[in-house]
This record gives sequence, structure tokens and C-alpha cells, in this order.
Amino acid sequence: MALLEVDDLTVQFYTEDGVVRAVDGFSYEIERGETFAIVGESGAGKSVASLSLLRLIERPGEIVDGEIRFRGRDVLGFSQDELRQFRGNDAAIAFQNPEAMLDPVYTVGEQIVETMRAHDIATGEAARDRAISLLERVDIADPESAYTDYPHELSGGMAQRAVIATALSCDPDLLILDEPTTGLDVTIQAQLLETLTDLAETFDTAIQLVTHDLGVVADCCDRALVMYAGRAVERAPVEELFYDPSHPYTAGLLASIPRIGDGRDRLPAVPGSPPDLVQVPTGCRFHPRCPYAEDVCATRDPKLVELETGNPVPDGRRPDHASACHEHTGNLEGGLDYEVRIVDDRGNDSTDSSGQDGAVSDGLDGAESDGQTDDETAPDDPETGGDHGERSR
Amino acid sequence: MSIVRYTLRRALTSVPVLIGATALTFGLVHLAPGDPIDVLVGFDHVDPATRASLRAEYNLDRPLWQQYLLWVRDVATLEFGESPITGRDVGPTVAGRLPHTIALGVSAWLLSLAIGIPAGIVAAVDDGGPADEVSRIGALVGIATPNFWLGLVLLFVFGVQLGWVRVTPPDAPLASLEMAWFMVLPTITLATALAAVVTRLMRSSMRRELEREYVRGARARGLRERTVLLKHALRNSLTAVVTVAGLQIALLLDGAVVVEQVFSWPGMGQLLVESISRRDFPVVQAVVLLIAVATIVANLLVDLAYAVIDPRIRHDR
Amino acid sequence: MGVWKGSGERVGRRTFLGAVGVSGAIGFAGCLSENGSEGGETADQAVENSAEALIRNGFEAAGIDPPFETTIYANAENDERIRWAQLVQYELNETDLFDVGFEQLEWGTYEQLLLNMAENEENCLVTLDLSGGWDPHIYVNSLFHSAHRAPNGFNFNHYADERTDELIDSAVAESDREQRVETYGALQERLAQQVPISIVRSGEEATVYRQERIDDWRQYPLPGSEYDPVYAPYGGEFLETEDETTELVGDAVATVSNTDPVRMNDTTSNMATSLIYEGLLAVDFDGTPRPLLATDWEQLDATTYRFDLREGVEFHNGETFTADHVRASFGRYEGSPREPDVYDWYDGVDVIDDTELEVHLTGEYGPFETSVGVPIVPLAAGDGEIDLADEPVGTGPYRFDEHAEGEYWRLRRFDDHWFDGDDAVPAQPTVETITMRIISRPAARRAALEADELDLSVGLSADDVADLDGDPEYGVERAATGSFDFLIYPQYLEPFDDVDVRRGIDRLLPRQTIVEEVYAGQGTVAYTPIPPLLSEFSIEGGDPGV
Repeated sequence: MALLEVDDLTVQFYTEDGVVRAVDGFSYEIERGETFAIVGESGAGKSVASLSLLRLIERPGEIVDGEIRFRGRDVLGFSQDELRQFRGNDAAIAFQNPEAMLDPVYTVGEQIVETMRAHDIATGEAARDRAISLLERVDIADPESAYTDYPHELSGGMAQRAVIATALSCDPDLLILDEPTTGLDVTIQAQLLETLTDLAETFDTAIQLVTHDLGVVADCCDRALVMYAGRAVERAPVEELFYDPSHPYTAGLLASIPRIGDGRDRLPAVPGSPPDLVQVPTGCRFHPRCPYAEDVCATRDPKLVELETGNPVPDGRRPDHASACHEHTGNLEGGLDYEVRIVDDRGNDSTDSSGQDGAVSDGLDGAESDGQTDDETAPDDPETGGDHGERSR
Repeated sequence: MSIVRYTLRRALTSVPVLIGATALTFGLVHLAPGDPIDVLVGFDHVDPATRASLRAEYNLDRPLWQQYLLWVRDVATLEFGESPITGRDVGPTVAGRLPHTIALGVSAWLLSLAIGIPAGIVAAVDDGGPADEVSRIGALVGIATPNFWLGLVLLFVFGVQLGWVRVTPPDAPLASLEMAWFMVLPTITLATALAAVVTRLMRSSMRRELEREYVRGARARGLRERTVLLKHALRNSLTAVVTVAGLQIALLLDGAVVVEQVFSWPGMGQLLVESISRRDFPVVQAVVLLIAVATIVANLLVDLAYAVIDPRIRHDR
Repeated sequence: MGVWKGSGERVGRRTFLGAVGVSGAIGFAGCLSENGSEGGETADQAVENSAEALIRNGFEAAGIDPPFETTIYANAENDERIRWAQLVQYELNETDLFDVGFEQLEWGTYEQLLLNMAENEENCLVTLDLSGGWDPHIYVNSLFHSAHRAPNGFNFNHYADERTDELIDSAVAESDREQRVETYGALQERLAQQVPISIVRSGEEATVYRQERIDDWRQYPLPGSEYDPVYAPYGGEFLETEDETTELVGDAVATVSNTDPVRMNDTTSNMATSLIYEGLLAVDFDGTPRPLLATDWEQLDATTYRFDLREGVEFHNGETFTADHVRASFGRYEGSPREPDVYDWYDGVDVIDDTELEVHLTGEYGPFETSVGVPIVPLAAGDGEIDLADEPVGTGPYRFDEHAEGEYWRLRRFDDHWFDGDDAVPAQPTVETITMRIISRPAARRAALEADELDLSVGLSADDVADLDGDPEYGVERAATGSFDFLIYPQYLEPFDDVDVRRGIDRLLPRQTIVEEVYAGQGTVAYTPIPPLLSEFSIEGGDPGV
């Protein structure tokens, strides 16, 4: 039994324009101690998916279908009290905007202690000591003073660490990190990721890491799920995802990983923009932006299938590599015409390398050139992208 | 900066406000036609020399700025002068009314908060639900009900028809059970509109806070809903309520004018109304000064309360 | 002393019904019924026609094409006044000769309009009431004498008529009563021809009391002596409470502002001290001067009166009353705000001995006997030993006990009062303490009475009085008083300078409706400025100008 099993999760938002399916039939599972990434552009539904795990979706949103099982227990069936005990204790979350997650009128320390008290982890001096040691564990330089600081007194990186410390305060089995590196400068990002990897190992905590940044995924994740317009389009162990992206969207994302020195932390992953979820495109949701789209893509909705067999992925089962593209069911005539080039740390490239980091480029020609015209500081050359692997070193 | 220094600085900066407020009322009161001597002598054909000497007795013959400076000089030594109308010292006259107004004002203020804050919280939590609707209608009715009308209705129902409370204040010290019982109706009358305002304000402010990330954050941390609402959302919502609660001092006085008359309550509102109609300048001035001081003190307290509630304000200064 | 109602505690008088907005409907219904179903339509029609004819004449003379635009005013604090002003507005507009607007102003602004209307030639009709005392002079002098043109008197529209001035002057300087009656008769006729203002209604004072406490009450007609019936040996009145309790609780409509006689400027303070202070004479319930601190008096010549003073009279502070007290008390008025109360006639006192004195007047003075009874105060007041403004001290049957400012005013029986009792009145009042609760809202006064917190109320609105009149729990005692409501014409302005126009309007005034509908039957219709209270002087009943 996996630590977390998500089956066919569907979350709807009722807006003035209509019903939005922010998460549409989402299935995955996370093993104990595993680091699992959910990747996608903003608006793809990543955060909603994460919040759903703790049932933090508020009106006008609603979990309309699916199942969430945590250690086999039905999270959606929890009573209010069970839910409260589950939150923070079994599964903890750090929001995308860490500073906003903490109440501005209480000190960081108070809020960490409060969390522990709520779950009967520790009280009084013990709680205080534990809080300070947690702050130390997340590499906050002066934990004593951070303890008495108010959230607004912390820098972005410190706030993110403080939030993570808070989330870790009750030794959760699952830590959900929503864009933990957003808004941080590259050095801090790297430090934070290192800390995270470290922590996950020490505490044996499973991590669900939500990000738009494949670089981050490459640095510290075991498996990843790529999300597009509320759906999973590809799911694979990280290495396979990077060496063998089997969905054109994944390929597009890989092509746009920021390189060091370009000064940007976010590129338009793929030309065009994610669809309006009120009126999702027919067929494959990605087809309007897909350079390989054919007629069939606009009419038939591709299922998530195992690459090996081409069979649909059954609920709750864990395939090694799955993708939702007609290519894998043999319905695409032209095929996916892109190649993966692996660039090693020394800048040599080959099409088949064992280097840790991969950068995918081309084949998706339009993608890259469009991205550049949209952004004046676009990378000069795919080749320079090889440097990016340096970041986390 | 320390709270003490901050308070001192605020107190000092309010001196010009005080001067402005009193100078303005001084001007308004004195420039309005008629003076206390007119009231005293009525329209009887008093010898002009007598009129003039009466005026001189109260410095009313001097230019306005001189009168004001003389007044300021006296007030600086806590000397509020003698009322030309009653012939009594103004200080004790006003001081005698003050406890009544404070007692009524404070109890109404507390009641309005005691009703408004919980009602606002319930409404905010129940957003769009029946409790929210009830509180919305209640607040609407509360705001729309003129307090003199409400006072009279309460007076007739509970005082006359049911006979549960007295209609006029009992002959008892202010700090007595009988007086406290008597004050129930005037307090309710005075508090109703304020409670309505506080309810709506609390609701909207709480609503806004409930949608903030830290509330979701607090829930995500597995805190009890009570803690989320009362420790986190409430404290953050209080800034807005505290502002209004402070400004309500002025509103309370406004309401007190009417309520004190309906319930024959010997407070400052009653005194102010009578003094204005009698052109009893020194009394009007003293009351206005007191109101100005009260308002300034209230604002100071509001600012201090902000600082206590919200550390961001504390640090920004 | 003239009290200009509306300036003080009369402000804000409104009924409970009025406050909730029913008043307008009643007023309006009233004027409809008068034009519709009332009897004697043909007679009314005739009056109306002749009235309209008069106005038309005036308009033609002035070259004015009807309708003439003007505005009628009332002050916002006085509901009844607003209602009757609107009735007049309606009546005038019905003729199509006028296009009258209505406006209400806050008292302060209203006061300024009144004081400056003539100066600024305002095109306005203004409503007001006036209350006076026991002598006709008070009423006519201030309103009509050219020397009292506003702002130096109540002659707001600057009416100036030599004949009127002459009559006023000669009547006041005449001490022969018959002569005065004749002169005031002539004056009233003159005024009825000239119509500088129109008198609409003469007022009434009423006290409502709880039958279980009070068996019988006699209303003193003039404001300021409301509580005198509790113990008034001079008028043969005293109050016997129904039960053994000796505390009487009544109301006062405003705070007691100043109790020093030479600075007293409102009726509440008068009322609060009326049982404390005594004068040489008192005017009884019928208007007859009676001995009080004087036992006897005599007019020696036109300007000299001799008084025998009562012996064995003690002030509340222990002083024994002598002629010196009279001289000192009169003297205190000099240079004081109430100077005219005494110095209009006072020239000096010759103290003959402790119990006898002569008062010298500056000239023959008709209203002397109703004016001479000003409060006699202890010498300690003149020395500054006691401040009467804080603690009134006199010789009356009650002494000042306690004043909770804005809350109540309490009197306690003065056990050493001089009166020894007679057939009608015992030597001591039965009521030991009198508490006047200060209740500024009329509706609250009624509530307090109904809640049994008051034994009596002297300040109920006309509607409340009428309402409780039929209730067996309450007794209502009414008395015609010295006040009247009137309409002021801008007689300095075309077409109101034409007497025909004023007389025409005067005839159109719906006096009966005003009395019945606006004042719930309290008071009577009135035409002349000397109220029926002064029955000997008033020619009330005569239809003016016909």
C-alpha cells in the first residue's frame, strides 16, 4: 500500500463563467519517503490538486469525485476532527507564498508551537526548544531570533524555510511543497533544495513537490507527473521523463528550462497559453498548442496509457511510464518528431548519455523560436543550456 | 520606537488639533447671532448701559480673538469660568455630568461590541447562510431605527406597560444596582445602531480575513476551527473594528444627546443641548473641549491598539 | 415679564404621535373637514367671499396680479406650530390669491428671521406665541409699541402707529383701573382695525395628576407657579394627598438654570423657586393681588405706596424679615439682567420702621400691584455670603433641599413658615418634600406619569392631556393662561402694507380647526392681544374689523 493514493480526483470550481474542472480525473500515488513532483504551467491545477489532499478547497471549489487514501484511510470520508488531526500531523503543506501562509500578527515561533500544541506533540519549553531546533534544521542562520520574528520580518527564503519548519513540526509522513522555490534567487533555491533533499532523507518524509520548474524536479525528485489543463499528461520516474519525454507537452517544458545566466526564472514553457478551463478544447486538450497535432487530436481524447503496452493505466496501479498522447496508441500518423539531446556538464552533447541532467530541445522548433520572440532575454543557444546542471552543485 | 515615546509624540501632535477644534467651536458659537446676555435679559428693554456692563463682565465686549486667548489662558490653569446663565462654575457643572455620560457611553460601547463582534463573526463564518441573513437584516433594522423612537418604544413597553424598569433615573448613586438596572434601556437604545455598524463591519472585515491565505494556512496546520477563527482571523479583523470603535466616541455623544433626553439622563448630551440653546458659551466650550480631548484620547488608544494587534504597525514606526 | 415661548423649554415640545408622524395627517384631515362637512357653510362662504374681496381690493391697489408668492414659517422644534402654520398655508392657497410656501427653521435661525424680518424686508409670514402675566401692558407694549421694534422688543414687523403708542403709554401710566379698562378697550379696537398681526388662539395650562395620590388640584394660570397649589395661603389653596405619604413628585420640563431672582430667565427656574421666595404681594389664582409679606398696602398718591409688613417672618437662613430686606431686594435689580422687572417703575424705598415702608415710583404705574411682588431675599445674598444662584433662600413655605443637576430639584417643607393657618389652609403643608424631576421629552413625561413615577405632570403635550382626560386614573385640571399664538404680517411690504389684505387674511384663518385639531381642544380661538385670562381688560369675542 502506497502512503498516498489518489484516484480519479476531480475538483470543480463554480465560477460566473461556468464550471471549471481545475483537476480532472487525477490519479497517482506516493510511496513512503519518496519525492514526487507535479509539474505544469501555472493554472494547470497543480495547487488545487495539492490543496485537495488536505481538503483545503474552499467555496466556490469542491471535490466532486475521486478518492484520496492516506495509509489506506479515506481522507474524503474524514470527520472534521479526523481531518484536523490529519492536517499538519500526517500531511503538512507549505503554500506557494510562504509569507502569506503565516498569520502576520503572531511570531514564527508562536505559530510553530501552536501547531505542535494542536497535535499534542509538545508544549511549553519543550515546544520552544523543538521549534528552534526545527528552524535550525531548515538552515535558518539565527533560529533564536527567527523564533521571535514576525513573518514580515523574514526574507523570502527565510519565510519559506520557516514555513517548511512549521510543516515539519509534527513529523508529517507527507510534506506537500507548493512551488517552494518560486521567488527565490538561484543560490537560495539551490540551498533550499539541498536542505529539502536532506530533510526528506533524515525524516523519511515523503514529499509532493509542486513546481513549474523542471530543473527543480531534476534536482531532487524520484518521480514526476506532468499536468496540463487539469489532467495528467505524463507520469514517469524523473530520469525517464528527462531522457525520454513521451508527451509533446513534456518535451516543450523541457525545452524551456531556464539556463544559468539568462536572468529569468520562468519561461513561457510552450508557445500559446493554457486553455480556458471553462471551455476546454475538444479531444486532446493540448492539441491547439501541439506542433504535432493531427485531426484525430482534435476529436479524440487520448487516455493515459502505459508506454510499454499501450494499455490504459488502471486506477491505483503504478506504471513505470505513462503518457496521454495518441502517439502511444498508434493513432498519430506523423508521430512525434523531436529528439532529445543530452548535454553533459562539460558541454559535450550526445543523443544518448548517462548525464544526470537532461535538456531537451528542438524538434519542437516552433516552440523555441516563439518563446524567444516573446521574451527578449531568451537563451542564445540551446547549447548553453548545459550549464544549468551546475546550479545545484 | 518605544510605545511610551510614541504615545508622547502622539499626545504632543494632538495639541494643535485641540487648539483647532476649540478655536473652531469658539468661532462658531460666538459668531452665531445672539449671546448669553441676550438670553439673560430676553428682549426686555434693558438699559443699554446695563447690557454693556453685563457684557463686559463676561468679556463679551472684547474682540473674539481676545476672548479666545483669555479662555485658553484660563483653561490652561483648568479654570473654566462661570456660566453667565446659571452663575455657577463651569468646571463642576460639566464634571457633574461627566460620570453619567461616561457610564452610559461606556456601557453602550461595550454592549455594541459584545453584540456586534460575535454577530459579525457568526455572519462572516456563515457567509450567505441563514445566520448571515438574520444578522444582515438585524443590522439593517438596527441602523435604520432612530434611537429616539427606539428609546420611547422601550420606555413605554418595559417602563410603562410591563413596569420592569423605571422611566426616570432612581434616586440612587450612579454606582448602584438600581442605577445599573435603570441603565439597561438607555444602554440598549444607544448601543443598537452602534452594534449594527460593528456587526456589518466585523462581518466584512472577518470575511476579508477568512479569505486570506494564512487562514487556510492555519487550517492546513491542523488548528482547531475555533483557534483559526478567534485567534487568527478575529485578531486580524480587529484593526478595522478598532478604528470604528474609536470613532464611535463621537457617535456615542451624538446619540447620547437624544437618548439622554428620552431617559432623562443627566449627562453631557443634555447639558450641551441646553447650553447651546441658552448660548451658554463657557459651558458649550468646556463640553466641546472635553469631547475633543476624548476623541483625541480615543484615537490615541486606537493607534495603540493597532500596535498591539498588528506587529507590522509596531515595527513600521 | 414677557416670556417668549419657543426660546426656552417650549422648544422641542412634541407629542408622541407627532413624533411618529401621525400629526400631518390629522392636520390635513382637519382642514378638509372644515371646508367640507361642517355646518353653516353659507355663512363660512360669505366670510370667505368678503375676505377674498378685501384681499383683491388690496391687490388691485398695489397693482398685484394674484397669486402672490410668499412663505409661511414655523420653527422645527414646535410641532403644533408647524401644523397650524401649514393649515394657514393651505387655507390661503385655497383662495388662489396666494401661492404660499412653507418652511421650518431651527430655533436659532428662526429667531434671526424674526429679529431681522423688517430690517431685511423679508417676504414672510411668521408664526409665534407669546406669554405674559397678569397685566395687559406686558402683552401690548412689547408687540405693538414703536419703541419696541425688534430687536429691542417683540414688535417684529416694525409696526408704528401713533395712536397705538399713545394708548399704550397712557394705559400704563394710569393707576385707575376703570380708566385703564377703557383705554385698553380702545387699544384693542384700534389694533383690530389695523391688524398688524393676527391673534389665532389663546392658550391653556394644564396639569395631569394621578387620582390615587391627588384628589383635587387647582391650576395656577400662569407658568412659573405650577406648584403653588401645593401650599398657597394667599390663594386659599393647599394640597391634601390621598395617602399618608408626604412626598410629591412632579416634573420640570428643563433644567433649573438660575435661581437668583435678578438673573432668572426661564419659567422652570421660576417654578422651582415659586414656593421658596415670597414677595410683598402675590397675585392669586383669579388675578387679584393679595397680601403676602405685606399685610396691608395703600396708594398714598400717584407715585407712592405704603406697605405694612408682616411680623415674625423668618428666612430659611434664620434672618428675620424687615423693611431693609425689601429695600435691599429691590436694589439688587439695578444693573442686573432682570433690571426692568423693578426699575421700570421703582424710584426708591423709604423705610419708616422695621414693619412699615413707602415705595416711590418714577411715575404713575398701572401694573404696579402685579409687579411689586418680586422675591424678597435675605441680606446675606447682597453681602455675597450666600449665592442665590446655587441655593435660593427666601421666606416661603418650602426651602431648597437638593439639586441634582439635570436630574431633579427638591424642596423641603420649611417648618418655621409664618402662616398660622385659617379656615381654608392649615398652618403647615401636608406635603413634606416636593421633587421636580427634570424630564425634557414630553413623551417621557407621559411615560413617567403612567409608570407611576410622577404624581403629576405640568408639561404634557396637548394631545397627551386630551388623551388622559377621559381616563379615570387621572385628573386633569386646566386653566386659560396668559398666552396666545399669532401670525405676523410683513406689513412693511406690498401688498401686506394694505390693511385690507391683512384683514382679509385674518378672516380666512382657520382658528377653530387649529384649536380643535392641532391643540386637541386645548385653548380657545382668539382675536385680540389681551388674553381672556384678563377678562376685565379683554374685549375678546368681538369680531375684529367688522
